[in-house]
Amino acid sequence: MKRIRTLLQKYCAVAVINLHSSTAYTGEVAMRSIMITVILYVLVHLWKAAYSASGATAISGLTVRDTLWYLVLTETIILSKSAFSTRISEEVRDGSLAYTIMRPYNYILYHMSYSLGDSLVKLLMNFAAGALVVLLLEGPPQHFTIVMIPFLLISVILALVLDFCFEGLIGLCAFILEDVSSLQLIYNKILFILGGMLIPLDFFPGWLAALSKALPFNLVLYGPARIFVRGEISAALTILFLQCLWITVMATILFLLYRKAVKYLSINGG
Amino acid sequence: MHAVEISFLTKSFRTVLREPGLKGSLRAVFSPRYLNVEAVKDISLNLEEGEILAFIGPNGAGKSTTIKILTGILFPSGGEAKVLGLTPWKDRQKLAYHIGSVFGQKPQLWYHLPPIDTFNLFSKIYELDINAYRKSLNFLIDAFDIGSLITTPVRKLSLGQRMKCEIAASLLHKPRIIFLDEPTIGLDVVAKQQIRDTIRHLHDSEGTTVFLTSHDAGDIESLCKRVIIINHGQVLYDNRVSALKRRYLTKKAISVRFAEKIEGQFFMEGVEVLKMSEYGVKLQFQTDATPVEKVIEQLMQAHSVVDITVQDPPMEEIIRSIYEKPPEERKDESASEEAE
Amino acid sequence: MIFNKALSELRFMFELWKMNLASALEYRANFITQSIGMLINDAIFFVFWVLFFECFKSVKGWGLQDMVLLFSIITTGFGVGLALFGNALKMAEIIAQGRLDYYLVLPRNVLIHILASRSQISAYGDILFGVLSFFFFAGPVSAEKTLLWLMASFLSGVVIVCSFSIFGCLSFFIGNATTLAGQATNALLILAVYPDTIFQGGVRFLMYTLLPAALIGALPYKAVQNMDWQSLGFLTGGALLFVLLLVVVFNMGLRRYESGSALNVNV
Repeated sequence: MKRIRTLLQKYCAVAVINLHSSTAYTGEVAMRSIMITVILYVLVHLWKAAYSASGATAISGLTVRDTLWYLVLTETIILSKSAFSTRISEEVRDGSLAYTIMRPYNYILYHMSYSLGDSLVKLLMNFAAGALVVLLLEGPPQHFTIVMIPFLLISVILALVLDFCFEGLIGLCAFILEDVSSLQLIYNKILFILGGMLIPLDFFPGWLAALSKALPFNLVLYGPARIFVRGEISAALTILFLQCLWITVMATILFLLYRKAVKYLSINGG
Repeated sequence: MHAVEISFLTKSFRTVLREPGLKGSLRAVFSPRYLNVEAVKDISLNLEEGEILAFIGPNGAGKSTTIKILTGILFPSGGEAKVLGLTPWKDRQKLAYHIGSVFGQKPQLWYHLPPIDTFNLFSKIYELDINAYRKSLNFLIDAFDIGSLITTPVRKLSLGQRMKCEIAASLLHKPRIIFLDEPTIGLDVVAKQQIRDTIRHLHDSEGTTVFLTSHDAGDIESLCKRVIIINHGQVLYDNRVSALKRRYLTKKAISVRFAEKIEGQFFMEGVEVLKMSEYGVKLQFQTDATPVEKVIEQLMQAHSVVDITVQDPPMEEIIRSIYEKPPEERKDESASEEAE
Repeated sequence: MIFNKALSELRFMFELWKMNLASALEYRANFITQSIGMLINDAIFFVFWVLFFECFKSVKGWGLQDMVLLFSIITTGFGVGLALFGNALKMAEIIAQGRLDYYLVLPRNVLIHILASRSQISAYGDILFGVLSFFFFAGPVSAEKTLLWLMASFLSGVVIVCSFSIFGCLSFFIGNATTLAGQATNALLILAVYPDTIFQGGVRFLMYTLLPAALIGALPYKAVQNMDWQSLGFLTGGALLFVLLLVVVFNMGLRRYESGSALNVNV
């Protein structure tokens, strides 16, 4: 029990330090919020025009306001998520990954704490900026209740953890590919569509929606956004459950591959 | 016409005083406090065509600023400068055709391509006539012995090989003056020697004026006849390298090897023991207090000497002592050098 | 005299572009992956519009083919612009890190030399996408339409390169403007790739002037879709203005740099 407590303290410290260093550059982070402001400004106009053109108040159960708040959340997550694959691929390529086993912490957990700490600041700033835009141009979220807050928060964190696992796996591909940036690009683009960033999955034609829901990518973006926009506890629980399930699967694969990678590097060098 | 003429050159920068912490950052944006940095203060010097000048000083002395003014990158706050009769910051492009520059830390050769591609590019940059270019290229290939290197991608060359090609690139257009900023930095002993030899060869055959900045005393000793030492934006010393050594050769070191083991502590009047081993000692002394002959005489009388070496202080020490002396003292020395 | 100088600079630009291409082809695999990667990147946005127009038949006068045409213009313009002037995206960095010095001591027009010294490899993927989408997904193609499309894309590219570079020049005035310039370039492209009719009033005015999103997207689109040569004329005027603006801003910044008072200069 004590061991778990010290471990938790250790990784929290890592997250907090990163939080501090992020806030030290608040100017920088604030500037990055310009992105989400512009994107949501454009999207508000686009979707409002689209809804008024179609004449419907709700499509697949989502009103225009629902859709916009949905987008606030998906954009917030995608702009705040980590780029772990870049970091880990660099360490694979120069072989320094092998040295991390000498450190008194678990490499993966360390980087996850680091990424989460980094993402937290971005999440807050991006959400604040994005929410402000939609609040001013459209209005507050219609179907979100206070009781859903804990579900939302947990879901967002789980989403980031899941994304972290994907990024880790991509980064380890540096063994096979010189440059994993194209893989990372493809992954991000998959998130755009199958993750439900640009369009809620509810608007997809049947076959595509089914495919997206079967794949884990929607749990990074669509999942938390859906909880935010539709205040249904049962749906929220299902999403959380699925997130945990996929995290278990992905994390296991990640740990196993990481072990293999370290072994290979410590034998063969960079 | 001098190759380089500088009179009362001054350059000050106004930089924003950045204080630590969030408050400090905010203040820097809204009500900034400025710091006036005088990088160069009233420098004057003249350089003739064909001279090789060592322009040295500690970091932050104002060397880079001076070179940037001479190459037209910066314009001064006051004073005048002319390079080959042109004012650098006013006629920069015109001057560019006649000067070459190599900055040790900033490469010019394209990294993924062989040097010959960059050479060809430079021939286009300088609008060289194709025949003149070929002639120049062949000359440099021979002089620097880089024939086998120029078709290998730069990323595959060693640092020494790369520097040779960098310097060659800056000479393709037959500049009348070249500015070399730390050309031997990071190179091993062999490579350093190659670079020095090529620069000397170039100077001897083409009469190119060389303006060299280096932290390496060996560069200075082997290449330059004249040295200017600069610190805190001012010229501290401007004279021949030989004069520099003569003036500061008040210290000497002697290394001795004896036939018998040394008993206890070695002691001799007027000398300082630097190192001691079973059979030998290294001594240091001031020649004006204790002349060399006296020390050697005493050593020979007291012990049976197997081997003896007399050494001058390293150039670095000489230079360092100049850096560290206050300005007024040095000005007097320079003046007396001129008189010699 | 000026004509000769211009010609010589143009020839020099061509040499730089050749060298960039040679340098890129040294890593053939990377060249291909980067281009394909960008192709996929653009295709995803295309997929978005397909899905979007499945739900909504048209939006403020824009349908799927219209969006594809708009996007093909921007990607082609962006692609050509950045294949030739890859450093437009790196200006802020170059200035902040003092790498200008290399260009200043050489007898070439500094601005052109900097911009053309790098070629963005992924831009070739953009060009490929732009061309494919124009010929296959943007509706019927005629000789006149193709000509208009080529010119409109080219001019769009000119405005893109100039605006990116102007953003980068901020480094002359406010120190390290790398992040800010990056944000500005992204914001510009985002505004450009969406139908401009969804915006009203003040923002639309802005898009036609300071933040030239409309000069990059909507105006060239109008010229091609409506076979409107007058619009092309306006676009040409706008592009020339931006070139002029870049030259002015850059020279102002350069003057500041040479005085040594630009912040963060490595002396």
